[in-house]
Amino acid sequence: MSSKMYHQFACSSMLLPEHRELLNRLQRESRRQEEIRLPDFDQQQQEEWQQLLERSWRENRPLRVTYLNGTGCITRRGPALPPLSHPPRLRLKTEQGPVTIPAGLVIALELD
Amino acid sequence: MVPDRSKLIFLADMESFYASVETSLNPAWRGKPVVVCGDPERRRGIVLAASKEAKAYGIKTGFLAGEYRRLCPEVILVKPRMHTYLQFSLRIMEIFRQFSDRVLPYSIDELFLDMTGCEKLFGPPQEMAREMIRRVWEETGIRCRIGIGENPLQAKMACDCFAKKSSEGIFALNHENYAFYTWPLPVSSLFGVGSRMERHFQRMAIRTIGHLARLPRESLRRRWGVNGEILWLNAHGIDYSTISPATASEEQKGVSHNMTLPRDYVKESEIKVVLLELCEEVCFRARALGKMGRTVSVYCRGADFRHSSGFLRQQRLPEPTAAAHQVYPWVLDLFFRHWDRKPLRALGIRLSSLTDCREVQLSLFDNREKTEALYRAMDLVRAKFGRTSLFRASSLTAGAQLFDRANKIGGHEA
Repeated sequence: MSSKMYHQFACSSMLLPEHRELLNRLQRESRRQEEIRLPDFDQQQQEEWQQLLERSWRENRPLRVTYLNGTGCITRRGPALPPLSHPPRLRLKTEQGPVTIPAGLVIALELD
Repeated sequence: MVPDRSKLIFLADMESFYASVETSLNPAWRGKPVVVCGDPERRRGIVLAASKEAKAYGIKTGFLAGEYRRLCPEVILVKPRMHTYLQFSLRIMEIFRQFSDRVLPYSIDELFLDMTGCEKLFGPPQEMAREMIRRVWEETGIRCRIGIGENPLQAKMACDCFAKKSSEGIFALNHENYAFYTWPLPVSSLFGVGSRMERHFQRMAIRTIGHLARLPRESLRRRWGVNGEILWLNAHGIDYSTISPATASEEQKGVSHNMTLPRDYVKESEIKVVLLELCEEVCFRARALGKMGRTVSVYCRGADFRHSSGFLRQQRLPEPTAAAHQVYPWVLDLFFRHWDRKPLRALGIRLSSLTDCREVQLSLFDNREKTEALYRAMDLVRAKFGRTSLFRASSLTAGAQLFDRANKIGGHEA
């Protein structure tokens, strides 16, 4: 059977190019937002990160923290500073100065 | 193939969309005759949308400036602003997406929804439709009408032939009642039957959808190929289309651009300039999608309304391309082979059979890389500095449309 039989409305759709472009942009945006959805971390992973954080702070060793913001992944590097609570936030002493990172957005944490 | 009767498809259509947007933005105009109209000095100075109150005076879409002024001197005339209408269209789509993720925009003011399986969430179909109409009205001030069916065709027929004429703005068709409601209607009411096809049918003494439905399917297929068969299926309320958001946005089959000329064109030199500009536009858009086309089509419409003329012809290219200078000679050849030398009102070009830009056949004689780099550089300049920052010298000659149409959407003020 001709493919037109399955797509008679797609074939006769009257979308302006500018409209189509806006729809494409929306779809790309919604896909991207789905892609950067935060993973769930179990208790064991959280405890491991807690230990790394304390070691970095006590030994002044640089920590590499990767987290999500509205546009994608960001990685920061530097020794940890005492964390903040309410809401929980990590603090790093980076070359550009102290940086505060919302704990809920962290997806990876390792000692350098 | 047995039609799927388990689907629940809606078609939502916005009433007098452009005029309704203007009224929504200017509430003082509510209840008054509002007409959205292009520049009356130009050919596109026709009525694009008329509010319900303007229609009550007999004003219709497509009327010329003089005609509607004569019918209703106190009409409120508004220039189109296409960007605003697009934004409203997206807002409305977002409202519908709160009901279903299977939304397919069909035009700026119409969209299909697949509501199959949503009855437990939103209640029976009529109730869902009422809630949608209420939400669109409350959030945008625009009245919408909804056709309900077991496939997109039934939904479209339910909306166009019945919901638009009912006070509630809702109508449902299904396989059981389709023939009862639609077969007495004139054949021109059937989706897919244009004025030309209607004339063919009139000559065959086919005046209603029922007459068409009673013809043997095979005879329509023999005469008009797959299009004839689709019309037979439509007359029986059978449609195999599916509703998927990707259909509208990603799976583009071709890139086309048509334009209504500001006056009748008859000089070859002027027509060539417009065809070249159309080639540039279509190829530019194909490159933006990362595609090349293997088939080019040329469309034109004659200026004489009394004797409908014009043609749509296509040609397969030796190899896929998105380079205007490669498409243009084929377009010229097609056009001048079929043009009857009578004045023209509209021209258009389509590039189809799209393939990915990376699927390139190597050529010994053509420096494809250099051509691609050239067009890439041109696209970058135009993207950064605007469409009129880099253009062919012919766009400065008589008949050219590039500067007139720059920054417009669909040929109207953005």
